[in-house]
Amino acid sequence: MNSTKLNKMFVDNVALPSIGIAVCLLLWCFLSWATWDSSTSSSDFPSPITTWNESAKYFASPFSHNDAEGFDGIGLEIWRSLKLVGMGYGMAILAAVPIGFLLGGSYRFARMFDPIFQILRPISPLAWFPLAGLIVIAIRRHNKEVDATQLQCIFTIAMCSIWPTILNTAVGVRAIPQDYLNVAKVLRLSSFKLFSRILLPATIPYMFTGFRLSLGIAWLVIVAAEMLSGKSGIGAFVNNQYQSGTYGPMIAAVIVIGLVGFVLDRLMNVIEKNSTWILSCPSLVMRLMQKMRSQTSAAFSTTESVPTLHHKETSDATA
Amino acid sequence: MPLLELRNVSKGYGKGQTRTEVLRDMNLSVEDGEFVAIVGYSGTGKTTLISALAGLKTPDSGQVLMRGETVKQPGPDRGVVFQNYSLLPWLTVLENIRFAVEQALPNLFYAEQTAHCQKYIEMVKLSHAADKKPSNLSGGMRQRVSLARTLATQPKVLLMDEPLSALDALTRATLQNEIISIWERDRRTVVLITNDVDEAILMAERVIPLVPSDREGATLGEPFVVDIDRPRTRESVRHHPAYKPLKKAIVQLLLNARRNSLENPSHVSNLVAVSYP
Repeated sequence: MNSTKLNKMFVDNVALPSIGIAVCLLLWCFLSWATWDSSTSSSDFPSPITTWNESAKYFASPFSHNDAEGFDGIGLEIWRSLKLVGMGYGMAILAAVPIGFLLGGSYRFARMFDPIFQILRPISPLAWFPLAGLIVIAIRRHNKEVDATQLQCIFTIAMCSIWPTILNTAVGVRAIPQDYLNVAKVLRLSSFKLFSRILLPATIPYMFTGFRLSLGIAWLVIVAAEMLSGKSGIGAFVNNQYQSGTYGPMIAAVIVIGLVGFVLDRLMNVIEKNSTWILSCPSLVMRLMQKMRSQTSAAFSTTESVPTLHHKETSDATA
Repeated sequence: MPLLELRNVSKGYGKGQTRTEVLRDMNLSVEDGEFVAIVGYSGTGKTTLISALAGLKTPDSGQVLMRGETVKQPGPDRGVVFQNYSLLPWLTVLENIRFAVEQALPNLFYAEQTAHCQKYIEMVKLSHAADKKPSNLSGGMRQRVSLARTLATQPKVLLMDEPLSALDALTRATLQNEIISIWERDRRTVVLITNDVDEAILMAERVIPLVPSDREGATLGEPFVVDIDRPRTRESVRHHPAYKPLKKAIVQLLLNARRNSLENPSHVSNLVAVSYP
């Protein structure tokens, strides 16, 4: 019983994925075999082994600066990209949540801005990039200190990754069952309590789906933006290796981009799964506040409020 | 003075040609400590009626009065047990009830709140499930939580909107017994809306038929007084000499009303009335 379970785990998690990877490696080998150029006795498309040999040095010292060909280590480039993604994505979701609540909660706001959002949403990051550049020029007129390229990337990421969170939050707000609102009305919740104890927790699962999709897009966009800017980051690394004709490290970097994206998605998935815990935070805070308030108010007026209730309760129980 | 009163309440939805009247000229007075059941077909405005009583919907004309004062908005003095439980899925049973108690009885200490909630959880026999989420409970258990939540806020009147209609027959019977025994101890004012005549006779002191009408909106018929001693059990009610004639009379009245409304559809006259309001 136990060994069959272990067996199944091994097959599901190790054996079958390995077969998949092996098939892809074989296809890759076939591709490099098919593009063999006998005049230079090398493949146009490097084989897995060539790729590894050419790029091993970037992995061996991932945080090295400025090697012989003028490239930084892959780890360093990834770190630079992640920083930009973090800033752009952070800006995006901070703006997206309130906008999403307005869009989902207010009929007039939705009528005003929904068409615009629908038009802005499909705009490619490649088109946002020059637009972001204009804003950066304007900012740099006032403050020369800022790094123009980085800022341009951040704006582009923010503009592209904001939409899934806005739209999912709005869907979440619209999907709140009327029943919850009826409960809120019967209990006469204040609007702050309505928001923090009902609207927010009811929307959080949708919001987290939005966060996950937004992060995926942010990671897609950073590569494109860095390729356009060509200065730093993993996207620039890919582009520059391509331009200088060293295809092995380029392919390795593309694979790393995929891996990092996968890890980010898994991370967000874990956070999304645990959002129930996260969403209990506001109620914990509220409870703490309530506890403190009841203690302070009790210190002043114990004789008035509480005993009457006790009296009522005992009469309830004995009746 | 009656605790809860409807005076000539009418309510409809829509405008112009598409307007449908749901409630027409309803009068009702519920005394303090009374258990009133309103029986009617599905789709005859039962939920609209309870929403009007709760203050969730304002009538188009007429008044809803609570202790002689017009009801303008819902409040914890009129606790509603909703048909679909309306529990918050991210809170446990205890937290769901505490959420309501915090709001309705804000002067309790934290520990007192817990004790208060636990008393009502015990009353509906759910102490073993106090820390479970609603998604891990059966329909009957969820409705118990909903009942406990409403009872725990100590409302003056309990409004129940078909609370048991989504449950299977056995669970339904158990919960009916529990509600009866809670009421017989507690004597809180209850307005129960149901589509089950047996349930109404079993539980209530007065049964009021909700008489349907095709386009003009439903109205309340003459009340039937259920003169069966308490404590009631299923058997004692079934075998009581008053039970059979009472049930027959109520069912007959509802059936006749339905037949009349189908045979004499008032579309034409109603359309004229709508065009020239």
